[in-house]
Amino acid sequence: MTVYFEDINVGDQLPELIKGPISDSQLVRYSGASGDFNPIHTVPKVAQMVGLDGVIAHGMLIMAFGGQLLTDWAGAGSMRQFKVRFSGMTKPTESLICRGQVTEKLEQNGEALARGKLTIKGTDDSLKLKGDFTVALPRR
Amino acid sequence: MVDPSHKGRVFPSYEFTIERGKLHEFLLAIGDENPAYLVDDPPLPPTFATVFAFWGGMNMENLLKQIGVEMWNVLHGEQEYETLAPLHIGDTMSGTARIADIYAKAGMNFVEIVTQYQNQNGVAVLNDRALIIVRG
Repeated sequence: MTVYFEDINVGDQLPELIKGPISDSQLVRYSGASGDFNPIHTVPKVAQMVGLDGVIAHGMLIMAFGGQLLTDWAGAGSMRQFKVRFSGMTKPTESLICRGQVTEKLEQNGEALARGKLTIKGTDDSLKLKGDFTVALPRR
Repeated sequence: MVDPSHKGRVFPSYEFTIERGKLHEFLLAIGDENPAYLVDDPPLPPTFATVFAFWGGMNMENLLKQIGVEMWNVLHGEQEYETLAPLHIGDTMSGTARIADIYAKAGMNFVEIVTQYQNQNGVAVLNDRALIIVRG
């Protein structure tokens, strides 16, 4: 369903996106897809060597979930700016809740834009990342 | 302490050609089933540029080594992407990374790496900004 610029308002919540549970094999898959082969994401022994109690998810995988939150709502290809600050580590078996909210509507360079903020949290409410975004929306 | 004289340093450019197979592999890995990516000339997911850097041979580990920082001692603090023009399958991205800033705060060192991507026509298409936290 297309979201139009005229139909959104500051304060609107984006439809919540639940991702996960994250599996070990998803981390292997994301390593190959992204090219980030840092073994702390895939090899438990290496993760333990650096003081973790097991592998952790790539921060960029979690940011990708945030990207999907935006494109599920505004459409694929709508992202103009997307910035996150990483807060907490994510481990396999965790599920994540992605939430966003519109903070501004504006027009710039002939495009209708929505700005907003987002968070991704674990089901225990632990913050994984927070950020802000700008997406371009179609007009009616 | 990271030597602040590295600020402004520009690293050799690298290239990556956007492939459809790589896009599908990425979508499978993140679990995004949006059918809008399955058309002939699809847009790219918001964080797909991660692929340009890692598979294009940016080599973050080597870049950090050149400014005296070891990969095992860093955290990815922030990441930002800015889309400047549409990207298409078959386009060749040319990425140039530079050290935009180096500063210390709360006992930690921060290194800001900005990578600008141009397409094969020399058009600026994407900015990538990573904030790296150096521990200790």
